[in-house]
Amino acid sequence: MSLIVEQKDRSGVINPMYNCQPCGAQFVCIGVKDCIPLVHGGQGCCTFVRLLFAQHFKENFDIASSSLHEDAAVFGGVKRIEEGVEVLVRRHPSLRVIPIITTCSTETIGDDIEGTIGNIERNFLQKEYPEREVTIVPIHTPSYSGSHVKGYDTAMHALVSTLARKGQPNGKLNIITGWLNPGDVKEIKHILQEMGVKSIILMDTESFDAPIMPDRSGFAHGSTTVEDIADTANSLATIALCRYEGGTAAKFLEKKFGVPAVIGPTPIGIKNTDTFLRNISQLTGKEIPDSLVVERGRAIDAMVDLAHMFFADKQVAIYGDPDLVIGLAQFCLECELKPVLLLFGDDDKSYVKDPRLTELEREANFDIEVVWNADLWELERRIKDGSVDIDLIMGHSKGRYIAIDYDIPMVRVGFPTFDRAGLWRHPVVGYNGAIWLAETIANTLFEDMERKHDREWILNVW
Amino acid sequence: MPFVLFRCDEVIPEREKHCYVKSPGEDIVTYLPAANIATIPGTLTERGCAYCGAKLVIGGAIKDCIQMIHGPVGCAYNTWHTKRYLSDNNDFQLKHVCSTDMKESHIVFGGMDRLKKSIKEAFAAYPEIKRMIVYITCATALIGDDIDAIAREVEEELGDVDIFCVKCPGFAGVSQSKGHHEFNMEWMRDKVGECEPEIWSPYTVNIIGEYNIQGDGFIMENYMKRMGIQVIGHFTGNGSYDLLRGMHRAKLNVVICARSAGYIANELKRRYGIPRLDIDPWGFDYIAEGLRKIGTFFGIEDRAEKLIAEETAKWRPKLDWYKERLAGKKICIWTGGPRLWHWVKAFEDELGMRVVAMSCKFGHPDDFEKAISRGREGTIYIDDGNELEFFEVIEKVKPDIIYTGPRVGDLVKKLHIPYLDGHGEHNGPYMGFEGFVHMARDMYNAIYSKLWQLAKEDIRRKDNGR
Amino acid sequence: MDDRVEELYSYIQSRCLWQFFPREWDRRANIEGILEKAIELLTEGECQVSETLLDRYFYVEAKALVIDVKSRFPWLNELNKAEKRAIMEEVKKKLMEVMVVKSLNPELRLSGY
Repeated sequence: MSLIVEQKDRSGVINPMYNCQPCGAQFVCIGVKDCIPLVHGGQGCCTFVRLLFAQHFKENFDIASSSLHEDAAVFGGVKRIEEGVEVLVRRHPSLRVIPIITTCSTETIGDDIEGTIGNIERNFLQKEYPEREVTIVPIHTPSYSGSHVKGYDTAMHALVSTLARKGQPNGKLNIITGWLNPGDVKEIKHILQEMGVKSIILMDTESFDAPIMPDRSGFAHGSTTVEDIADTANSLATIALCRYEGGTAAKFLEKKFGVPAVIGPTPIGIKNTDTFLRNISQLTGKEIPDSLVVERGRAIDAMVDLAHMFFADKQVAIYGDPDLVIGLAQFCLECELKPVLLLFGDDDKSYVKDPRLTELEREANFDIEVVWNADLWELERRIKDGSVDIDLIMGHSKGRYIAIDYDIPMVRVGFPTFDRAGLWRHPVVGYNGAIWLAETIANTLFEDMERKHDREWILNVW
Repeated sequence: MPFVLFRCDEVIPEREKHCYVKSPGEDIVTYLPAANIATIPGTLTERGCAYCGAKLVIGGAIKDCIQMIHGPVGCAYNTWHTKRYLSDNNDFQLKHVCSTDMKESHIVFGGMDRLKKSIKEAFAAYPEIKRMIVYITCATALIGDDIDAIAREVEEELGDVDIFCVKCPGFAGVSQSKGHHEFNMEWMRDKVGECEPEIWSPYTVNIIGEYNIQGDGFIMENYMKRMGIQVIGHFTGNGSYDLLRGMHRAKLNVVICARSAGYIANELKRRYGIPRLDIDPWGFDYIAEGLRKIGTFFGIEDRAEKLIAEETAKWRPKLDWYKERLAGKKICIWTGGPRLWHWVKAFEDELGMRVVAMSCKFGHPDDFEKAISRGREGTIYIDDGNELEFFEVIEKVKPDIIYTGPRVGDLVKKLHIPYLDGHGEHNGPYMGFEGFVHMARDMYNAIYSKLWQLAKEDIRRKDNGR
Repeated sequence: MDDRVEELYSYIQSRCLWQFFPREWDRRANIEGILEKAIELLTEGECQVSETLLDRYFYVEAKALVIDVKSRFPWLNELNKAEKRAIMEEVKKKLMEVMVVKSLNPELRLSGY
């Protein structure tokens, strides 16, 4: 059947689905250990992103602001960067990386970030702290270009291209996760361990799940070190799990250091995870172990229990980050759900040309509507005017009121999922992610059946 | 020991004038912390921007208008789903936000066409809504887009709509406070006096600086109703755009958040001779005093007394139960500004607690005058406090509980200190008699939670690490 | 008398929001207006209220203050009229001094709101 590609035909956005670039850059940077990014712009550009992260993770992440004010609009804001870096370096003795993340205001003003960094290095760091190695990384993320997706990709590229250093081959595999959750990172690490593969994870966010410790030492932080990033130049290969969030950095490593890059597929669902394992095997020469075959079998078993009984023919709308949406759509097809409406939230046309969508089109026996440059109104409007009939919504919490007001079951997935507890702890990738997805979808549909008295007695025996 | 320089601030001694410990014999003419001045970059400030002060705090609570943010999409995205202000309009204000989603070409060639299209699209999407607030942001202010001109054009073209423009980019001022100010002054200048509300009571008030967090404003509206008083403008919780254009018809302005909305009360006094009555709506003693004053103003003291008696009878025993258990507990208040002085005496006098440290994000000198006048000696008072300073304060005062924002709360929980949401009011509402009981209940539940005891225990040690 | 002035002043300082209005002219007007009415209420048991809303407002604040201080400071009731007036005049002077004349608040003297 066909893939109908459309774009929002309005100029403005009603109920945004995507955030702006600096948010994506900030997410990358909090994954680095001993790193505090300095967002060069108004205070809100950092304060509200910090709040967003806290809403999602229930954790605090340190992100600084250059606190730009009116005078900078006239005279430029570089002085604020200099002051900000100096304060950060002086007050945080363990700090090693300070990414400077630009915003719409400072890109419009046209502050010379690279020149300023050079000045800071010469006039401040080398003079006052010659014994410390603090790297300042320029990250250009004007909020009026792309979205948080591009911001993520840009920041990852900036960090890798600034910090990667050629050295001895390390026999490791680079994994660039893209904007996934700590639960996903944990699952990826688990797979690599089962495969016996040493890796560098960009960024290792597993430690975002910070404990409350008796000695009061547990704080949320990223775990990818400066050394890890430097060493990516010496790895066997790079796998970028998300094409649009991290793909550019993988390609950079290939071009600059000859580290082969494999971009995607995002290992959501059985087949994508199979491809991921085969890619790892091929790149490292390691065999796929029995243990993962067992995990795969468990996932298929879980999906079989649910698919024809409950999932078949259910129409699903999916929105969120492009790789996630595509991966979830592929997963849906595997277990008989019908992803009839996919929405991408920015004006990057490459999403709709993604070969994975062509594959979906080939496999689906129904029409799939793909909307790019979409907002959440594109979803709400279609539901409101009856032009689509949706049985299940999959997406992040910003669309929660559509599910609530139109009484449609919704599985929260992606970022942010602030209206459900602890979802970031669970994976959507890997075989375990497939189990979590299938069962979460099922339980969401079950609760809906019970609440609406829609054949809820089926659940007595199935 | 007047101003203090925290260890973490030794490298930025400018912070000293923002941090004060009140000593015996000192008052507000001996020392007053510097406030409402620019943040030092890189200090991990808790402050937001002026745009958010206008949109997130004030405009966004109005229940029957479209929020149109003229800028890149993040300004809309990030000020959406971050507040708990309710309305009796199916929470329209919580559910929807619009953006012109400015792209690079609009930054180069101007975004006014895009704004015009976006405004018309939004009115088309919500045919039942005829009012809109347009906010300028950093990028669109820098390129000089004239949002007023576009708003007037659209009003002309559509005929039945009204648009209010807020020109307060994120880089304006030093904090969200600038946005409060701009919104107040612009609303007063552009909108007040445009509508004539229907008057049904000889007793009319505006409730100013109350944002209906978790229904606080519903409690206040209910009290007014029971006293036979008509609320014309509720600025801005559960506020109606057109009623707020009729604020000039009230006989009394009841001001709650003097920081974010005192300006419009001052202007209403200056221009229309409507008195400004500031009240503290948290705490039995204070809310009773406020209601009495409103009653006295209209010569209906008996109604106020009846209400106070009913409410007190209903809620006093519950409060007393909590008071017994909260007495002597040490608390920090680290919020925006006014809650420092609104809450400190209510906690101390009515619950027997000790407020040991107060920090505000965007307070002005008058907020510190109030906080220090009401606060005790030995208490720490901080302007624009930041994370490293908070750690030192905690070490010094060892609080039992902290009222602060969720993110700082997520930080202090790791130090085994319970936090309550001082902005969103944990399990509110918090205003009025019942609200203060909720507050006491939340503090009791948090302080006495078994989890904090468990958190301290180290199971590797025979003595559990105690 | 100094102690008693201090007692009343301290109480007002920690209780009443009207003294903290944002600009010098507001503070002066409130301190004058409210204390004037409070003195009248304390000494005469009642006071003149004109038809203007602002005058009514001063009366409202004064009445609340007087009821409050009379119950908190019983010694006040034992003074004669002249003593009451004298003490309250001192309180007013002190408030004016702290809240206006010696105030460290730089925003007090801004020209607009």
